[in-house]
Amino acid sequence: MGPEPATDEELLAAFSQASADEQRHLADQLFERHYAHVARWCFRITGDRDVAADVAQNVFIKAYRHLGDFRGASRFSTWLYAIVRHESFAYLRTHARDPIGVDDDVLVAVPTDDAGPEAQAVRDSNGRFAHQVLLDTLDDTERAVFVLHYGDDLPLDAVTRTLQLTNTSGAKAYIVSAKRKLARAVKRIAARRGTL
Amino acid sequence: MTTRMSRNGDRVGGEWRQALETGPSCLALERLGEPLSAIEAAHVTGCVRCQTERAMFESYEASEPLEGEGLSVAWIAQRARRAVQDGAAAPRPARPTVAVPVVAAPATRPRLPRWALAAASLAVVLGGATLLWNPAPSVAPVAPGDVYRASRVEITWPAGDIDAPPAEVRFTAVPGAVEYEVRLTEVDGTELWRVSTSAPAALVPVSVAAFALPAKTLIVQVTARDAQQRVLAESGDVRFRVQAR
Repeated sequence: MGPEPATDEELLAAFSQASADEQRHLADQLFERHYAHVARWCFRITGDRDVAADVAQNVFIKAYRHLGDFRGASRFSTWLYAIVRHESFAYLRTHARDPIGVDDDVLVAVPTDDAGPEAQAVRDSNGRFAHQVLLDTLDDTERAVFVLHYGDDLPLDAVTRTLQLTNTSGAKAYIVSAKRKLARAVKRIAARRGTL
Repeated sequence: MTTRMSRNGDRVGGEWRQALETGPSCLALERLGEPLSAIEAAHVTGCVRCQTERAMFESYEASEPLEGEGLSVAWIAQRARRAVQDGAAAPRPARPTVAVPVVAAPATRPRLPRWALAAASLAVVLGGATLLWNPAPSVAPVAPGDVYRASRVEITWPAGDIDAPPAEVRFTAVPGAVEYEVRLTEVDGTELWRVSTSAPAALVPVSVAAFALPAKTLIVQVTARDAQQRVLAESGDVRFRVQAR
């Protein structure tokens, strides 16, 4: 046998040609480069060592089972990240202690540009318009918190850990300020329409 | 304090969720680390979803060890390593499509050792005999409106590290309960099996037990209900795993 393959991609190429026993050895070699990284992410995102171990274990078992499907369209680490993200978010959504909710103040409605009568066209464009309002109104952290909390149903404590927010109240502070800013923006949009 | 959304809040939250969903032009997760084409770059500029995904991916890629997490991370990595080395090569059992209440046998069933089959057979015989001797479970009188949520179902088997896939789930009886719902899930909440039983035990079909791969943690839950289908007690999540040999 020649020298050990040096890159992830070379190991994967060898994997596709190998016998079952060799495949296990090659997968182990490949994963060895990623165990700590995945473990760290799972630990940070779940905030619990045992849960993180379960999630990380599932990530690698799924990665192993689907390794033969990897077509090399991306780096292996990116492909693995897709599994990590899916597994960890699925866990967080399923085991959220608190339902996704609003605090005392109600979340503002999605801003729309639906002045015209063509409802379907408006519905299609609402998402884009809402994105533009979020881009114009919120800062980077507020946007990320908003997307993870309202778009991905992640509980706020998980958002805090995922984004490694170090302020005292974590993601909650960003959600509060985001909602306040959005409410003001929606009012401005409504006022502009009123003057048209 | 966080409260469950009102109906209006649900609607508004649902609209936001829809607005923030991944769209057809959004980057696939596998593209996050790749150089963007002009079209992709133009899309990302106006898409908060893609911007968030990219930021999260960059944070994942760049994450450096923090002080105090080293031991935990090493332990988690070791668990994952063991799972791959001990369990990943095992044949993959087919997942039942409908888990309630009977699980269809998978087309290709992983071979189980003889002792496991023997244990399952014995459990079937014992379970059947128990039902024959005591066809009606004893039911303690329940006053109307009484709810025994304070009580708890204690799962006595399986729990913790076990030597072989479980042939049955056993738990303590709850006064007033006429039905127990037993669920087996993966740690991410994916349901593998669910069954209702009137006795404080449920036989685990061999095809379901096959999901208990070595070193893979599964969760079992039991909910006790009264004749009006009110929940009397729950077990909470009880984790178990078959020890890797």
